[in-house]
Amino acid sequence: MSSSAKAPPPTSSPVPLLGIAGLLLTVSLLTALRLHPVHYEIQARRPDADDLLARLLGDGRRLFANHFYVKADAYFHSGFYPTIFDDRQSHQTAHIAEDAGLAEGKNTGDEEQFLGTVANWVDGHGRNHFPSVHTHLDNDAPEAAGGAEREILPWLTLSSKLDPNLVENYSVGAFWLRKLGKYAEAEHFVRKGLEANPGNPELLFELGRCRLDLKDTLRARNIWEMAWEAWKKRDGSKDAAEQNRFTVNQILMHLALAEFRLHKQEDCLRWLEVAVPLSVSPEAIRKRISEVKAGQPFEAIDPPNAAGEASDHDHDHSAHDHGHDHPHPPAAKP
Amino acid sequence: MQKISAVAGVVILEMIRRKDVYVLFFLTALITLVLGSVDLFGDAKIARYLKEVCLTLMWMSSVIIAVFTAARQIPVERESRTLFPLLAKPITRSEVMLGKFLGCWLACCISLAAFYLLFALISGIREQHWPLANYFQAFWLHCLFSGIVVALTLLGSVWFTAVSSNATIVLSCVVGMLLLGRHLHKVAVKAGGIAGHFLDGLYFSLPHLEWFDVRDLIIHNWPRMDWTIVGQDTLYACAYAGCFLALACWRFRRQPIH
Amino acid sequence: MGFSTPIAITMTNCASIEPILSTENLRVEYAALSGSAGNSREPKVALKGLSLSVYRGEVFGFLGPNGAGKTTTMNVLLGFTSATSGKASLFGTDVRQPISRQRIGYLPELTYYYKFLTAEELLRFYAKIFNIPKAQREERIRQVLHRVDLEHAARRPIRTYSKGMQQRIGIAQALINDPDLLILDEPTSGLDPVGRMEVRHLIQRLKQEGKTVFFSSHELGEVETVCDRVGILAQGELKALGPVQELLAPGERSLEQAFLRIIGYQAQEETLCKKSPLSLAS
Repeated sequence: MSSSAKAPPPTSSPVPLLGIAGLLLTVSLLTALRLHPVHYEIQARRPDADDLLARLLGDGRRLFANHFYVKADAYFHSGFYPTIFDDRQSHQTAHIAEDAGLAEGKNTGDEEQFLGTVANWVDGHGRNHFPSVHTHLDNDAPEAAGGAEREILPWLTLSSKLDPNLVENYSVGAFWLRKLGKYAEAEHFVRKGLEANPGNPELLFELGRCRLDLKDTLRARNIWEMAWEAWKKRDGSKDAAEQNRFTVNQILMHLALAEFRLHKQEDCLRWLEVAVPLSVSPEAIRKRISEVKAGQPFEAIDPPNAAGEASDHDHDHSAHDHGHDHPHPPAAKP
Repeated sequence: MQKISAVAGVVILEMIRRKDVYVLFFLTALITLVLGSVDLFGDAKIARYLKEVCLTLMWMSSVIIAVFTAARQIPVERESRTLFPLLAKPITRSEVMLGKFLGCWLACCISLAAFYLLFALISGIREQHWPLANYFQAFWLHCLFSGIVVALTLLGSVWFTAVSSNATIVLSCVVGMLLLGRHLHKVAVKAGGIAGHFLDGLYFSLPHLEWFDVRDLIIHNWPRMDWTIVGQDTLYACAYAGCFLALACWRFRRQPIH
Repeated sequence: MGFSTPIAITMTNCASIEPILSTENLRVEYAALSGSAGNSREPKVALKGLSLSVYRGEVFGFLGPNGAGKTTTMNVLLGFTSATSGKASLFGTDVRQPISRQRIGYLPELTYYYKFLTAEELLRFYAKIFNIPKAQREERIRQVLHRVDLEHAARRPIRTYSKGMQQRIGIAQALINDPDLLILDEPTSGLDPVGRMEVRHLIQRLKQEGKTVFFSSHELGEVETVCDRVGILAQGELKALGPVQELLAPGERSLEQAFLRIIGYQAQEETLCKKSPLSLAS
């Protein structure tokens, strides 16, 4: 057998293949150079061009936003949370039931009975394996001290990225950021919310709180005036039952406070008078008016008997939580 | 015991030499570290979301490792016919099955140990807090969970010839039990009638895998569980794993090997 | 022409009369698959009352066309399949007892080993199954690796082995427990002439060492060379049993001629003359 039989066939020479590969690579690079500006322009026109979640999930991402908003609430309760399977009756005593819209204020203090009585040994033993005691991150959680409230922030951030129109993310997030002393971050977060929801009264109100915390009372007052105008535009023409009177009550009470701090007692009283017909407990406001007139300090900024103020529970995130001044997201709707 | 441990040793060697576990481990580490590098309002102390993501990935990985390691043992030995020279030796089929179980379970425990070490490092660095007893409880309960899943999968592998069908069925059962196990009784009470009795039967007869998932206690820094509870969980897991294994041995012994 | 009973049962070259492998009226039936064989639900009979004894120190060739029942017999002997009726024993112990396999070595037809293990690890694994004490284990592994000339590749994964090397690691695992009886299922299948010769030499060496070898093969020349006795199986029945010389009819010069006659090939030769002998019964 001659050695020529073992020689590779002429077509297997690597030179033409390498040449073709090099040519194709050059063509690709030239095409990329030509197309890059075009695609850059297209991307720049898309508002969510830099948002990975938006690009990956599209508008479908909004479906997940509520899940993470609820998760933030679960974190606020250190993992103690109802599921769609939990009996409504069994947790009527917990304030979570109020959040869930299942019950009005019926807190009797026995919140540890959230899960109801033990049904059987499986249920009883199982309760050792998950958080089965009602807690709040800011006071009675296993690790309450040291700003554990910060732990809810990632989920609110994620939820806000998934659905920028879910206003509660920004207001709740800003509330806790302020409480943690992160005023600049809170204001930045609210401003992002306002970019997505221009003129939203809840966000304007929260922005004013940020300014107030930064001792910028004048700007806070101006922002709350904008909030009041925005509220009138949105809710002013609605029936009393449909109005979000909790929000407006907050706005007006804070306007009164700002005027008080700016030593404008007359304006303070004017805002309180405006609040009277919009409050579900006008007597409390009238009492406040008489206190201001008597020269007493105006420090308690939250409306009295706030739990009764909330008429629109879905949007009610704030301090009506049987005396606590901490907003947290509503529970999942069964 | 030497025969059982010899079979187990081969299973562990196989897992070490396959790439699956490493891929899952590095994915978990990578995703956790990437998420850990996200700036959240300049607050470096935020840790619980990271713990949750890490633990969720660990749980997903552990279920995949347990199910797919166990599901392939007997069917692949049959298909590649490595079972023939093995059973031609003085070893019973029950010993082979027990060796497979021990190997898969230890393989899961070894991978879990690596995962929990990663978790402890990440959470410890972030929180400056090392509740090692709590982590050990979570690790041990996770190992027990893997034991039940491995035994269940081995039982499935002597009933279903295809690895994929066995893995799919077991994965569905495991995920279903994890998500719904705690609530079956409530659903049964609401359903009533025959359906209610059926669901109640499932509730009391199926293993409550959700007991072994104490992620929420770890994430939210709850105090560690009473060791008596952990002891009871251990007994419970042993009973169920033993039951599944006994059924698997019984079935395997009766099967002709062609 | 076929035989309903073995044509000759004679013992030669046997060290003793103690059978170390025996079957008695062994019958194996398989459930018929639905839809097969014209929808017949009758079970398929793989072995029809096989009675066979293999004695200490002999090399026994187990022959038969494909589908004759050789593999089924081995499966029963190794405990892979249960017999429908009859008895089978190794060293006087029922084959259903795992301990009956303590003194045997088995080489399957193809190499079925854990490819991710090295030769050393594989042998160590099987040595543990045989409960070989740790002190002797490593020495034994070294010996068998030397015997099959695989010392140089002891720490390489089996998946990197050539076919010949894989066959040799198969032989090594069959010898790890220094067995008294070796059951070899077509040990030269797929090997090149050199490999076949090496296996033949191995069988002869084992015989010299006083081991008993029971093996099936289609290589009739090889069987003729190394076997003391042969058994010819066809359609689940033992058609002939005895030393090669005694199986040859007058005028026959090779085992192949005798084999074809015994399995009844001559009767059908005219109609199926273009078919190869080994495909006839398959």
